[in-house]
Amino acid sequence: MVLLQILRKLKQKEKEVRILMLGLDNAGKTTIWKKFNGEDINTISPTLGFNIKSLDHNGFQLNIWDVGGQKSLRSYWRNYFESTDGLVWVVDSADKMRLEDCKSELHKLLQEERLSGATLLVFANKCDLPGALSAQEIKDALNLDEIKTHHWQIVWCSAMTGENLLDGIDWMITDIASRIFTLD
Amino acid sequence: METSNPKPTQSQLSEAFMVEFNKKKEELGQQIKELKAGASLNEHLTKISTEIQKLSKSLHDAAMFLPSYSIKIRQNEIRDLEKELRGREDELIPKKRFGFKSKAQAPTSNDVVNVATKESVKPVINASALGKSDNFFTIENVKQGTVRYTEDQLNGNDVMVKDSVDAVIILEGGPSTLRLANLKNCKLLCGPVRTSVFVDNVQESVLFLCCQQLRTHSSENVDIYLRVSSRAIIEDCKNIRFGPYNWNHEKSNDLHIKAGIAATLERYDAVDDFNWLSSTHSPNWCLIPSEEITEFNFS
Repeated sequence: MVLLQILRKLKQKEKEVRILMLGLDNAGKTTIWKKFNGEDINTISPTLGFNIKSLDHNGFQLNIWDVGGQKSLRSYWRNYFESTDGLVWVVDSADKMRLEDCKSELHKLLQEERLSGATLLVFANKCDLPGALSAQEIKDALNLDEIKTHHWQIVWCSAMTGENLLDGIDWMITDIASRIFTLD
Repeated sequence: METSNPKPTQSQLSEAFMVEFNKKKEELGQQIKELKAGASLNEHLTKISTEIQKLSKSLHDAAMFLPSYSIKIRQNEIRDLEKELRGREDELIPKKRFGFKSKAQAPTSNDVVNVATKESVKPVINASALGKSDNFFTIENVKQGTVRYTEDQLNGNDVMVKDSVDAVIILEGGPSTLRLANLKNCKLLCGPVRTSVFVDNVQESVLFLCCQQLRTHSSENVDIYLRVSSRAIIEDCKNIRFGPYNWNHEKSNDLHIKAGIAATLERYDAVDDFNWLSSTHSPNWCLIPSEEITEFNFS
């Protein structure tokens, strides 16, 4: 597509990727965000509002948005949808009580037109906790196999130790890049 | 590549886009019709699904110059394509649905020391519904009286206390997380919790909590004696009062060390009200006046 090539090149010059992190409260979004930025994670409290950070990673400029997940903040999520390339959905793997909640919030998001082009990465966080569900169990509980509208992947991780965070983000960037940027 | 062309106008862009879009749309529609059952079906399905996503993404990118009505129509067309694809997929592959089957009627190994289970006939929807109950500890339906759990019972577990009235509940320590739900007129004392405490729908109660993070939702008239190492938040709450946590138990020091919280920490007023985003003080919480502070005595 000629036209898309023009558009792609516009973005390609900057190689800018906008990533939005959402999930229920206490899922570990800010911990992942801080860990990824190499910041201290011991004094994190529930996010009131949002955090934003731009960083260079593998030649891409990532703009990572971390938005608070408390119930009263979820209605503001839509203010952050615009031109999102990647959606990171963070799940507390040990929080079995609210998986149903977690599923419905996720599927609600996937209906959003402004997120329609975005790649979805599900982080099954806190997998190091005793009694945490496996990524496979989370995948089933959230009905991820039913998602046909987005490219998606589920990755287990631990924000506390940082395990698997890079693998997840790298998968996501590769997937986004293959659609937005013409591969070199 | 150098472009000497003048910048295309919006309508030229949108016209060019429409030509491309329609062409692609028809191609995909055709491909969906031609899908056949067979070994490579899955591969084809994935390929078409990817193409549809690409098309959707291109529409997303073209949003800057397409009229919004046109975007709406195109979105519907994309949705129709997806529907067709799914319809075709359902025809060709019998569908497997995910559901929680009751086969995992986990032999209630919940370790639940349940005070009033005998009366509660209605099934409890809790973690056992998910077939995993290894580190769950549920305390429920305590009506009046005092119940007490030792560190050995609670250590490292996700502890849930719910549906209780007029009770005194003593948790000596060690939970990994603590959840309180649907409590009324209760007194709850808990030793240091390693991570977070989540309080939901608690009325007219007094709580003694020591934790890394506290979230309180939909509660009213609750006094919380708190030691929190990060911050506490309240949401949809009224008349919550905070005071200092002071519980001198023989094992207190040990438990604090295990939880990674300093036993000397005096931090109980680091509270955010998520329903009060103004810089003035929230009307939903305050500190307990010093003359009203009670020390919880248990022995």
